Amino acid sequence: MIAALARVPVVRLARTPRAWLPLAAWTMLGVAMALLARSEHAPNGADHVLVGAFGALVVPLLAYAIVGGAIGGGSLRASVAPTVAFGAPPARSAGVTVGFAVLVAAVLCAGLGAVLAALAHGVDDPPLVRDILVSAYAGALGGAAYAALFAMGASFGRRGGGRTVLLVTDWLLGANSTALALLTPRGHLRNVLGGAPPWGLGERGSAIALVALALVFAVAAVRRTRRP
Amino acid sequence: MSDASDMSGEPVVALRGLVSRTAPLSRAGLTIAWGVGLHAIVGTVADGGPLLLALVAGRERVRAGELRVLGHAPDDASVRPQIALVPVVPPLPEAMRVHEVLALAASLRGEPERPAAERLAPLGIEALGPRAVRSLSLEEARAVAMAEAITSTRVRVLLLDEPLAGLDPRAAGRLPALLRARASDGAAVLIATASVRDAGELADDHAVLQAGALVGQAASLDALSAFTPAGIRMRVLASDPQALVAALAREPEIEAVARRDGVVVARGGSARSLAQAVGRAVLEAGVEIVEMRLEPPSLDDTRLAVAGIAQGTFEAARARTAASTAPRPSTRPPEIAS
Repeated sequence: MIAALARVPVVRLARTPRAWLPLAAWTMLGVAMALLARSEHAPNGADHVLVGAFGALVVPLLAYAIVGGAIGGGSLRASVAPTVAFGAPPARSAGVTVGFAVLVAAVLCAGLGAVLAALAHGVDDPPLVRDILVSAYAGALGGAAYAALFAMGASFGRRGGGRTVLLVTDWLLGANSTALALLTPRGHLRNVLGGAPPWGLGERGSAIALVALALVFAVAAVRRTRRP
Repeated sequence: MSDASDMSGEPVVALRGLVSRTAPLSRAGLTIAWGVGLHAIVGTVADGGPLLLALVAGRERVRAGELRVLGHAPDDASVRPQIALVPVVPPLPEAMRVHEVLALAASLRGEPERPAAERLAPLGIEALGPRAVRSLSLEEARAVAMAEAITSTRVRVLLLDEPLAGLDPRAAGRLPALLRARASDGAAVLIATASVRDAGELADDHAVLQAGALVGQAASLDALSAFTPAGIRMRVLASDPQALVAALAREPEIEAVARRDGVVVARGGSARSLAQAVGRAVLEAGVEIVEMRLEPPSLDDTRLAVAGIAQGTFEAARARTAASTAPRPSTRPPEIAS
């Protein structure tokens, strides 16, 4: 049944050009920033691009677009209505949709993180291979946490307007290093990428926090969709 | 509930004191049961027909009372794939093609996959198979959802909201026979409609709702028509409406007659006496008949009639009908208010 349930979000994402445009745009933004850092021979080019453009803009916006594409731009409840109409349990339908979005976001953000680290690598950055691996790992955690956050947001509002509210909330609360940033993927992703930690938390703590946030948000999204 | 218990006559859908969380079914507790067959829930959206279907399908939450479908709660894992709800706007996966939707539905319902053309052909819409769902009109999408529900081998409870409204014309003509065949195969078909005509054409019994409350039930709308305050109406499309109106006006069985846009509408006390009177008038006027059909009572008249029967005033209604069909002096019938 899971394979059948996954067909709907897969087809939505694959056959909706409207969903590809933001994906392409945010990917190109990250690549452009990395090429700019490379052309300027910035000694900490990778660090600068990953903490700045990648962590603060590209990962959240990519995850936002992926979730929107996977659920069809509306609410999470509406996105599972077709499979529920054919007898699938709502919780399982929502779980597969959210899981698919989280997986795609993690893989894309990991790949893009690795590419940007390689493109913008400067002389003062950590060794290239290690930097690529760490960037991919951070991108995967960040993409997963953001996708789960936006999936939960899509469970609020008739048209899933909570997704946009949480995008803005994360951007505002995660911008500084206060305790509130502990609740946002942005604060932890910045820390894992080598930026300022939220409330003095270590990198490993932020990595664990990103996994925990992804799980909590995903479970909340599914729970909110399981009942009519 | 097992197949055997269904065959023993136990209700397929049973509501006892059911109260919804949302209006209009949020106050009065509904108690009603439906078995295998064709059943209509007559009422508007404001009366709660579509909401009742959603409750039976497990798409709306119950606040109080009991709801059993095939012997279980409607969200039971074993029951859910056996329920098909076709609302006015069916939720089909917009990015898929129609044949992919049917394959997905078969997979989720746990039935063998069959060629899309085979499942769409009964409604005459096999040409829609390769089309993307997002390219379908609402009428076509409704026909696809209807075809999925009707041709599913697993579905045993079909819940159809306004099945003949906004349906692809290719499908609308074939739907009544297909629903009857499904009911004969052991399915319970529940139709929510505000059209008394559709209810009469499609269903064998009728539960009439008003503002969320069950006003009453009637086995047949034809019989019910005799007890409605406005009596029975017949529409006749004839070659010479003026001559027919003049002939009808001389018939004592006709209570009122009117001509609207070339169509003659006659009112009488019972279907039989009305048909006989129209037949005599047609012969007397020497006109050719293009179309002739009984008009169902209005929704309000139906509610009044059902409520009257439910409250034990059946005999009074019968007496009124008998009085209205008794021979009277031949006078010009009054015009029907338009």
